[in-house]
Amino acid sequence: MVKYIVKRIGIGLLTLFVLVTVTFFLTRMMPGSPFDIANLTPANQEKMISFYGLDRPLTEQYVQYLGNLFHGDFGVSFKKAGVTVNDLIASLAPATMKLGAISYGVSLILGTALGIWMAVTRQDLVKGSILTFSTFGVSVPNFVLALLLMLVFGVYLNWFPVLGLSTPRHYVLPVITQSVYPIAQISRLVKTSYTEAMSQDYVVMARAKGLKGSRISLLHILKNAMIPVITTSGPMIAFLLTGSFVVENIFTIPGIGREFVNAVSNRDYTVVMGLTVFMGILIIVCNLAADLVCVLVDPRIKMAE
Amino acid sequence: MLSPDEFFEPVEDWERDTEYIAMENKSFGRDVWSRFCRNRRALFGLVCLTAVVVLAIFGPMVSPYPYDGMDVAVKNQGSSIAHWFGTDQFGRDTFTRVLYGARISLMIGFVATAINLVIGVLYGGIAGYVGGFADMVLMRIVDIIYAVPAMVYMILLMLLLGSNVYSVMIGICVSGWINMARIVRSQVISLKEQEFSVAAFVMGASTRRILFRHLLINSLGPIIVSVTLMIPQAIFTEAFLSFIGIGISAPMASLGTLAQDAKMQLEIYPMQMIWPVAVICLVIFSLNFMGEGLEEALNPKGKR
Amino acid sequence: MGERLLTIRDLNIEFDTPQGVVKAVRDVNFHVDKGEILGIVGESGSGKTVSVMSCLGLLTDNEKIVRGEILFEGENLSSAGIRTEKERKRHEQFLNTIRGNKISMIFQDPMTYLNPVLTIGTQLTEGIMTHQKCSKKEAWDKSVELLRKVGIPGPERRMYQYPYEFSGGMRQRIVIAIALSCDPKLLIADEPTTALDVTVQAQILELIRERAKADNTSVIMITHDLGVVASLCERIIIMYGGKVAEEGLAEEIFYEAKHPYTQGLLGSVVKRRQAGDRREPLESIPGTPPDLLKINRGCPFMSRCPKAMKICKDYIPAVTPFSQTHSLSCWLYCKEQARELVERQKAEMGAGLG
Repeated sequence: MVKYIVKRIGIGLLTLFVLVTVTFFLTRMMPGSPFDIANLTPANQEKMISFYGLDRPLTEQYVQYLGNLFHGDFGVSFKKAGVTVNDLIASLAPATMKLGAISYGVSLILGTALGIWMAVTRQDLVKGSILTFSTFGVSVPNFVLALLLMLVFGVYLNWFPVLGLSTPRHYVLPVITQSVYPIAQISRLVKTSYTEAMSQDYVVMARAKGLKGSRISLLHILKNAMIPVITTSGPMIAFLLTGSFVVENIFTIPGIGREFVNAVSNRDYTVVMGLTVFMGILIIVCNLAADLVCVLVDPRIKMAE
Repeated sequence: MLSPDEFFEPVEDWERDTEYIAMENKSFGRDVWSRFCRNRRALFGLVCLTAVVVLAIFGPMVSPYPYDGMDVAVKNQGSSIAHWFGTDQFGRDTFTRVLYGARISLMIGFVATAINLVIGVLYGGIAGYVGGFADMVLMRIVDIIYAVPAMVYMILLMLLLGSNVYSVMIGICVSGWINMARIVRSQVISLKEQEFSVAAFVMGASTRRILFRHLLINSLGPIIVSVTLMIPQAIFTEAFLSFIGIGISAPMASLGTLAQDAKMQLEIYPMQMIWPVAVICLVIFSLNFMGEGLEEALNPKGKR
Repeated sequence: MGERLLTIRDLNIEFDTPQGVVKAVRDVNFHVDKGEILGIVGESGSGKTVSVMSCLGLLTDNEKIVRGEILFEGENLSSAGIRTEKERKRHEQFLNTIRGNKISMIFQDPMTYLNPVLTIGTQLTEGIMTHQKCSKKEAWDKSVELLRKVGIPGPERRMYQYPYEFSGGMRQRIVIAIALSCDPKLLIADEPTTALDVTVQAQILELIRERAKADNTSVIMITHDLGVVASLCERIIIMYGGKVAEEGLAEEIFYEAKHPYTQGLLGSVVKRRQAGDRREPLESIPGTPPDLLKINRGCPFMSRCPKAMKICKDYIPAVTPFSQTHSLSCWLYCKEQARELVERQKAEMGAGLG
């Protein structure tokens, strides 16, 4: 068990290192200087560049960046004077993470419920409708969904507010936007794995013991059926993070996604880098957590490793 | 009818009727096709996709308006006989632009998927076939790419390479082949162990022959299904990038950039948004339906 | 003769398959007495497993009992005649008070019948807690005791482990412990040794016999292995093609087999040879078990029977008793009835012509 965790953490750190390195060099290779603004004289530009250390050799900058990161310092923004990336993350991350966590929770519950329903129902109509919904869910791009929801429920019907995240009602539309795709994916996964688990011998054994139907389906079958869902939670979190780029833009939510897109268009290197690395860490941590939950649910995994 | 007098005579051999042919023998391809056709949703997807593809190829050719021809006199019009889908803020014909955008989007979807297919099949095939240490290293790389937020890297790449069709394709190919590589690898590994490839090896077939003739042909089913699901993924990615403003730049247009353009005036002229968005959804929808249909048709054991 | 525990009458089971309806079990009758060990022998597809699975209502959705009674301590377990969803639910609830409690099962493959993601402790105690009013602690203690009884060393520690941490033989012992956990009246063992190493097969059989004798539990042992029934069972039923071919005490089956199929089965068992014996090739029954989709109207064994007659093709032989315990169904042994049938047919044909 300990060996397995250490190994997973090792892979996580390696991933993080690759991620930081790639991000650093990609951002440094980008065309255009961050200080390429009309009202800045060439002399002042020079000054700015040397102030931020951009004139030193790349390797030196890289080593320094790594060192700073190691101490938890993501650097300062080139564009917003005096604002550190740490400040940005501290003020913006909660909104994004809250939205993401709620969306993931909703998707997990609804997706699992729909998946089980699809697996056990004998009515072809129900099965067909849920399947069509889930195809619809994976087919509609999230920006389309966000715009439609905003237009219909925010502007025309005026049922829900569409600006910011100040009250619980503000969460409704962004959460729906973010959850539809994961719900569709999870319900399909659960349907497949649940159907498969239902046909396993241990279910016959559980029935032969005279157990109640609810215990058989919620413990014996579901615990087995959830394993693939847990393993895909990493990519799901990544999906929610990238989804936040458009969702936060459309619903004007002050979060990491919106800031990232802004930084990209402003060519604010350190912010782009810092946010990328931060999102990378988030995803790596989530993957690690998913791996651990997996081992708790299915003890065979650590044997296979 | 048997006469009672014969009751106690021994039966003839032919009467024992032990051997008979259980089922009519159908070729695999025909079988899959007939199962695919029985799936109404898959068939619907195929028809819609074909229609969109045909229109996207020939529509802009026969349209009286060029996709980038501006006409200030007719800007922001609604649907009319002259302009079926109306016009945009520069007076460009939305119908032509949507078809043109669909053409670009589909092209990106197909080409990027083809590239991903080649990379994925080679990578996964080699990892699975060679095995051992090389496999471990290759798969660790895959794990790492899988664990990072791919979309973020696409955005960085787009910034680096500039906003055009080629950089979108390269961006999609950063991580698009990962799933394919995994599928092919696991297929090859499981097939490698089976008797027929061992038999081929024992008979002295060359490595290349085993790899292509035996292993890849047999993993064709999952590959086809995965391809039909990769195309909509690529189309979505392109639309996403264009929508956040770093995809394809004007005057070229994809369905994503059309949606992005219409966003400014969304509350006044929602129809300018609806048309391109509807086509994106239709294309992705159709491809997903087809993918599911194919999966079911190729793997009838899965349906219960 | 002892007291009846289970009586099965006119049991008919059908499967709905995409290719058509399969009549898996046809007019099967048998009974089990208290404390008795009954063997049911047959090839795969002979209907032996389905017959006993139906006793516990463990058929899948496409399998159903079309006719017949399954009387257990005076109560009918058969689901024949149940139409509405409400009745079905009530019957299911009733069966749940029997399953794992009064009748329990040991399955063929201990690798797949234990849930891989639940501990042995959970899987053992859940049955006890469902059927007996007792606390978690009591159920736990009882489970530890059961594990000890079936010969698992260090049971206290083993309760926290998962199935993958046990060998095949150990897992089968656990399955037996689960089956015995509520002191059942009837234990059904479906090929309990088929999936195990030869070296542990005998141990498992001995364990089943020992536990059954200790608690006066009846056992139905389903198998295709005559060696298993020879060492264990007092009475034997031979099934073929969804029907009972022959039934009798162990001695009657082994020394006075009458049905051509039973004779064929006995002939295909490897015999012990003494030094100097002539090497004889191992006998076998030609052909394959019948496809129940396409089965003929007559005796199911007709196509492979060395003594098949024309009558076997169209008419199912009646059950003919030989002694109080020994009976079989084959035209070779009920010529009287066959002759009656011939007479009747002739009369009918005559009437038809006239």
